[in-house]
Amino acid sequence: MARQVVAEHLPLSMSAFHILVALADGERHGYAMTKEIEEATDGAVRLGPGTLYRMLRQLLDDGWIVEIDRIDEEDPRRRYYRLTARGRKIAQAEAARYEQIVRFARSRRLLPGSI
Amino acid sequence: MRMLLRLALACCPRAFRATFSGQIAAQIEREHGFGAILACANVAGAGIALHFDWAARDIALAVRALVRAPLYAGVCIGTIALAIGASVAIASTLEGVLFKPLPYSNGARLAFIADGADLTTGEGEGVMSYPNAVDVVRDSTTVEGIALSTRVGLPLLGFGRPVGLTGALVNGTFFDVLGVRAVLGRMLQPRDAGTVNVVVSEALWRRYLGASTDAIGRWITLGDARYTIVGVAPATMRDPHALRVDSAFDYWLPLKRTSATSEQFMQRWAPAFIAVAILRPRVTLAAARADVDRVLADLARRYPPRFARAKTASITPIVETLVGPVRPLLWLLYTAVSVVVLIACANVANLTLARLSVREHELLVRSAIGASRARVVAQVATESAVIAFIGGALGIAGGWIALSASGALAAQILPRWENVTFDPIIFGYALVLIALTTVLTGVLPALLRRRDLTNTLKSADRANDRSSRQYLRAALVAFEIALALPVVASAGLVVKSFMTLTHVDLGFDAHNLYAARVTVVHPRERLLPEVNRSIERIARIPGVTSVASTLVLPFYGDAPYVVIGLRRPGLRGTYEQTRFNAVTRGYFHTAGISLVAGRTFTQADDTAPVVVVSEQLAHTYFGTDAVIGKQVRVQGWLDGNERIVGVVRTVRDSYSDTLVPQLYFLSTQTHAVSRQFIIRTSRPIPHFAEQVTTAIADGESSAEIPAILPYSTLLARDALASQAATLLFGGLGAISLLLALAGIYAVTSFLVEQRTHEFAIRRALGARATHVLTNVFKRSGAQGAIGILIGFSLTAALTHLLTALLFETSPLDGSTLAAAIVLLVGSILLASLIPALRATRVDPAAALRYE
Repeated sequence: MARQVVAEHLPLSMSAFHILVALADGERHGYAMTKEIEEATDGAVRLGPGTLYRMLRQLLDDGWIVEIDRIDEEDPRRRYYRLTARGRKIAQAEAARYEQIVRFARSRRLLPGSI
Repeated sequence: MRMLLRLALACCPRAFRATFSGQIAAQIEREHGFGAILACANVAGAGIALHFDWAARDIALAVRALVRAPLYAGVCIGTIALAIGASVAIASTLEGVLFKPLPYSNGARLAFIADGADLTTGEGEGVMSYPNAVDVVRDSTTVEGIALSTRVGLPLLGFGRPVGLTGALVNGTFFDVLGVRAVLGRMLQPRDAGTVNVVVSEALWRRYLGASTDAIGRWITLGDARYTIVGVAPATMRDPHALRVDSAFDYWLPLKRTSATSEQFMQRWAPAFIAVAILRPRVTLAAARADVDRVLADLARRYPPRFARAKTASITPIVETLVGPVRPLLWLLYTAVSVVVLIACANVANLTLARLSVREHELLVRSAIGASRARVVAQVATESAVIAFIGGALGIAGGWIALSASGALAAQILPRWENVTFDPIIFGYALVLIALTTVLTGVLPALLRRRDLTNTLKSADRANDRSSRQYLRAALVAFEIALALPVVASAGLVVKSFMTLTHVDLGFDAHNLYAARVTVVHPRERLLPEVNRSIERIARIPGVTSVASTLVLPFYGDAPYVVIGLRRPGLRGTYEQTRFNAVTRGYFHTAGISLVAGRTFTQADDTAPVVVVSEQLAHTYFGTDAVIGKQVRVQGWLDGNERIVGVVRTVRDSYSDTLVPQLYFLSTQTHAVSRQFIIRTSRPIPHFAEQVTTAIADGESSAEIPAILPYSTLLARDALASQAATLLFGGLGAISLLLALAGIYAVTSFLVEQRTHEFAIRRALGARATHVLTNVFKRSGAQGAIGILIGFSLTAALTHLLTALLFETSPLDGSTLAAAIVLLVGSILLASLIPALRATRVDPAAALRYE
């Protein structure tokens, strides 16, 4: 996918990026995404169900995630989602953007660690 | 909890709910207590945000689609702007004039009251004599007080040239009854009677006294006397004289002991004052009328009447007097403009339907890739909403401009024009109109055509729907025509009425005729020689052919009623109130009133008991009998028998005046003289007003300044309301016609385009051009015929509502209705002609090539 086409979607909103990252290593259902994001950010990013599913709706429309056919034994109402190739590319591009910023901050000794 | 969740989900769009409600429920059920409530709130918020998302997207799409179809968008927006602009302007006028509260704090309890004087002008203005007013207040149980006011025109001196101001002499309770609160100082009270105190208007105080707070106690010179200022009346204060037509009153003086009052003026039979009564709280109109009748009947017994009274006292709430005359006009205009709005909506709906047919393919594709029916309808409705909002906004701006521009003219015709503004109510009304327009022009057509928009792509199915679609559009066109006919016919009737009005026989010759008025009806014995001297001096002005003095100036519109009791010969005891005039000898000649029989006044008549009567009086009292030499008995300003020596043409006092009996005396016989003159000139005279003023003043700098107006102005002023009605109705009629024309053109055009293929084949097979033409005309002719038929029924049923506006014109006037129908038929033919001609020019070979 051309870099230009990817770039025009950046920067992503916080909730969108976190959801894409949460799906990066495999499929999840909505509630799991919420819990993992909450843990990973130490409670800083807490997505309510309305916010979450509204964002999922948007991501589905854009074609960055898809719903998969998987029935959950615990609760059959749950639906599972995974990244599409396009979604993955966009998430990678956004993450790379953040990394660039962090590198810059490190070079100026704002953050600990080597460049 | 489940209830809360269901509520939260209800806030979300249906599609979203269908997909995600299960997952959301699964998630929320794992929360407890406050967390669950927060989660539900989050869902509700997200749902509402989603609605906004989709609305925003629809609006963006709509704007883009409209930009790609500028002609369609422009025509629709323009049509709606025109209709809503006119509607908002008229609604604003209606609200300001009819519904806003009065400029008096006691407004609801105030009413004009008349003591039985016959007020055939129908304007209900109360005129009363001073003693009657005092007695009514004393003896009645329903009337708390009466405010009396009579006009006076003393000039203001000491500020350069004498300033011609208008003021009033008022009784002690005047300001109290009207509930006026002083801006500075105090208002006049009963204890001011006989003093030289004065209350000035805020305008005078600002302009001539510098709005200074120490104006109280200062004095001003009005006419030939000095008056001490005791208070300043607020700018919102209106003298009862000035309620119907806006005119500025600048000072109020107490009654008695002023130079203009005399004994006769305060007589029981001299209806010299405008009277406004304040009723006790919670008193009904009917109760007040009965009560005042009782008091007046009692007074009639105690003081034998000079003339017969009307059976009931006239008590008219002020609002009624103020707006009664214009109420029919305003409501009729409002109805007409609402019809125009409907026609405009029909037009835009038609255009939208046409466009939907054209965009069918695009919309079908959209539905095929997953847009639900509701979404597609919403998209179409959004486009209509955008058009309606832009059109509405332009319309509101246009309406505001129109109102501001017409301010000067409107203030002269409509009472309480100052109340007409754009307030939140009008904005709300405009929004409702916009919403209505959106529904009628977008939502309904989209809903009606929704099966088309989301059907399969099979072209065969579409052909079936075509005929039903065409019926809808044809019905819309017929509807437009049906609505346009009554509006056009109304316009025609109003125009005809105006033409009739301006050509009516006035009874006198208004060419090169001027009215000069100093004061009205202030009987003074010394006045007559003074008036005669003024006549001599005015006659000496080069260019003046004749001049005379008269008690009543026709067409002045605000002269108090001058009546005398007249008894029919043969009937004992009953005197009827009849208009009279007291004139100097040259009056009939100056005014150009023709003599019908007998003679006019000569020098020998100076003290003789002779009268001249109008044709109408001769006809009313004597039928076809000869009248010269007969006697009539009068009571009031004069008592005794009078001999008729001449009959003259009846004079109209205003355009709306009916012909009434009139009696003429010589001014030497009565003491009813006023300083009013009519002057005929042979040519326009430069500095005429100044010369007349000088002639009347004769060196006295404190003399009252006369108001000098040419009769052309007075006539135009009286016809102003008619003129305005004509312009407005004419405008609405023209707009309706234009819209109907545009609608027919659009539909016929579209139809022809659809059938181009068919026409081409016909031509190729040998059909003549005329055949194609007739085919097209037949279709539009059918629509037109149905429309006119329905429209005619509507017109016949509804034009009687216009009666209040029409002058000697029948609401079912044949020639006007016929003209309106012909006009519409012509428009239909014209609008169909161009597309029809285009149809004939189809090149068969080229069209068939696309087969």
